[in-house]
Amino acid sequence: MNVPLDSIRGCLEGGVPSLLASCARDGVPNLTYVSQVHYVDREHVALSFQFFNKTYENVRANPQAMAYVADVDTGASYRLRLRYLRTEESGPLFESMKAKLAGIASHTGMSGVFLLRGADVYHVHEVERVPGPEGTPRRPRCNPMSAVRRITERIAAHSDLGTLLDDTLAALEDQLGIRFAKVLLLETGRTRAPRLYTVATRGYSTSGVGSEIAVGEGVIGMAAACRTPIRISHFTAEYTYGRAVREQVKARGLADQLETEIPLPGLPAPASQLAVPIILGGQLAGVLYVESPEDMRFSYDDEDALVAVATQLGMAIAVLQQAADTQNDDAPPAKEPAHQAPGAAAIVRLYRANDSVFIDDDYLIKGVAGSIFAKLVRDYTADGRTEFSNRELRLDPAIRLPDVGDNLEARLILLQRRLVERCDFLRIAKTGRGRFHFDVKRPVKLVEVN
Amino acid sequence: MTRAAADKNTAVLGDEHVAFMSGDAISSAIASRDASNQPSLTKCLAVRVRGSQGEVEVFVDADRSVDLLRDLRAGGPIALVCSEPMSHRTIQVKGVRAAIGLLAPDDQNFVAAKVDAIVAHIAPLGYPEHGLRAYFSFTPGALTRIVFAVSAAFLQTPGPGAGAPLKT
Repeated sequence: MNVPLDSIRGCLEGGVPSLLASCARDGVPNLTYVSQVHYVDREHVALSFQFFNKTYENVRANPQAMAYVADVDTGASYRLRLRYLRTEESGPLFESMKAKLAGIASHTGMSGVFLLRGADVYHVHEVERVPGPEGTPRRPRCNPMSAVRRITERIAAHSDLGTLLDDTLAALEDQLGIRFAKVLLLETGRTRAPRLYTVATRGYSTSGVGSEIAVGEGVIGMAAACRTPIRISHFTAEYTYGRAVREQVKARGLADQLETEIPLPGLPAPASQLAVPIILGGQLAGVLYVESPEDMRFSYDDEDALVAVATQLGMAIAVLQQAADTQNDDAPPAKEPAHQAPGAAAIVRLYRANDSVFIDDDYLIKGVAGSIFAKLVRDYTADGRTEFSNRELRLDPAIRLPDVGDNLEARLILLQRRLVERCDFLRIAKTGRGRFHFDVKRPVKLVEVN
Repeated sequence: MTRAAADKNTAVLGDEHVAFMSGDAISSAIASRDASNQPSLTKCLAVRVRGSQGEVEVFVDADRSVDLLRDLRAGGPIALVCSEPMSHRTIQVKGVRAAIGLLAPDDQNFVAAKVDAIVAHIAPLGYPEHGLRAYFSFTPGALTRIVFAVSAAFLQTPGPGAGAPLKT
């Protein structure tokens, strides 16, 4: 290969329509425009297979093919000598290309026409630079490798999960110019299907902490389900969350008619979206998501940078979680004498069907964070306790933590942030690693509804 | 080419298709293959249809089209795709054998005008003009004319109807 394939990834962003020449077994050539030539790795590309056409027949009968791609900025053109290997009709590569194609279709007025049937994977035997002049390349926004270094240095400096999450998103803006971002973590509760809950956001008018997305839903959910980055370079209604959330709400039952939807923070019509799974120990831990109102804002380089950041973030989350779980080996926290805060009692309702919690009819939180909150209120009203440890929460069967690997510390941060946003008389304050204080400024009464 | 063949070719395309391929806003590319059926392809600079003679003339830069010209000189068949970027309307025509012809006196000006036209058509879609100029660049001394008779023509506008023979 004369030209390394990963040095011309800019040609595979779809800026200039690519061409593909194939040849039937009887020797008749065929030439077609291709919606998408997707970079798979240094020796493979995948082409979108959308219609049962002559190319479809040809490459299955004669796998030799030739693609022609060009860089939209410089006009530099390349020929890729290819050999068809296989077609993938599901899985990470397929979903990644399907989402990208939806953006391309919308951008080119082809929504409803461009539908991915398969990802045709080709081996790239040779990349040839077509001789000719080259325009001036656009100056890169930044050096992505240097940016990743700075961001990971900041990640490594934190010893508190809440500030780690917030500062990681701040670092994305400082170093990569990414203004709209959020971190979602996985909840695999016993009572509900796996979901991603928002634990930190940046750039939106409301934090949206606590909002949820089903695994498999939209760009974020699909990145989680397939554990692969999903990147879209143009606006597409198909992958916009407003509609998905509305449909999701419609499909749900009685418990969710009580307005337990926290609006998902997001741009109303993002032109570019990139969702990167946070993987830890081979398991999905969450998703790092960024978006922009600008077309083609995120490149293959940005995708690489975000994957590196998400990996570092995942490891840092795990380390801080472990520290919180193991830092309280001393005696259990002392019970304090009950003392009632002044004022009229606020009613805290816990709906046990989905552990959703309402304070005086205002929705607070649901799921594991809801059952944690119920325990705090229960213990406070019964014994006047205000000091708690992570360990006792983890051991409490009523909280129904899914497993030891579950991120309890992240649930506490979620709960802490929701209380700050929704309630002015209840607070959670950390008092040390693995310990926190439940601050109650008004009497509360717990009502549990089965 | 015989007169009968020329008439047949004209019928394959039809006036509407000839007009489309002769338009100013047409981006085109041409392919062939070698003896082992390995395809070759290059971007075209301009296309001209001589309707009355049933011939298609395609202009390419020889330095950027080495394998394609080699395959055509060896008698390889032709696939030519013509597309209007703004509308995505696309047709593909096939030919059995091509001749590499000499340039006529005005061909260079014709090609330069066609390149100017397609750049002007595409630039408003958001492409940097200097990149487009490089993409459609040619060296006058390397300008080469490929001539072939159309043997078949197909609709290739994206969609389920793509691949259907053109109706004349």
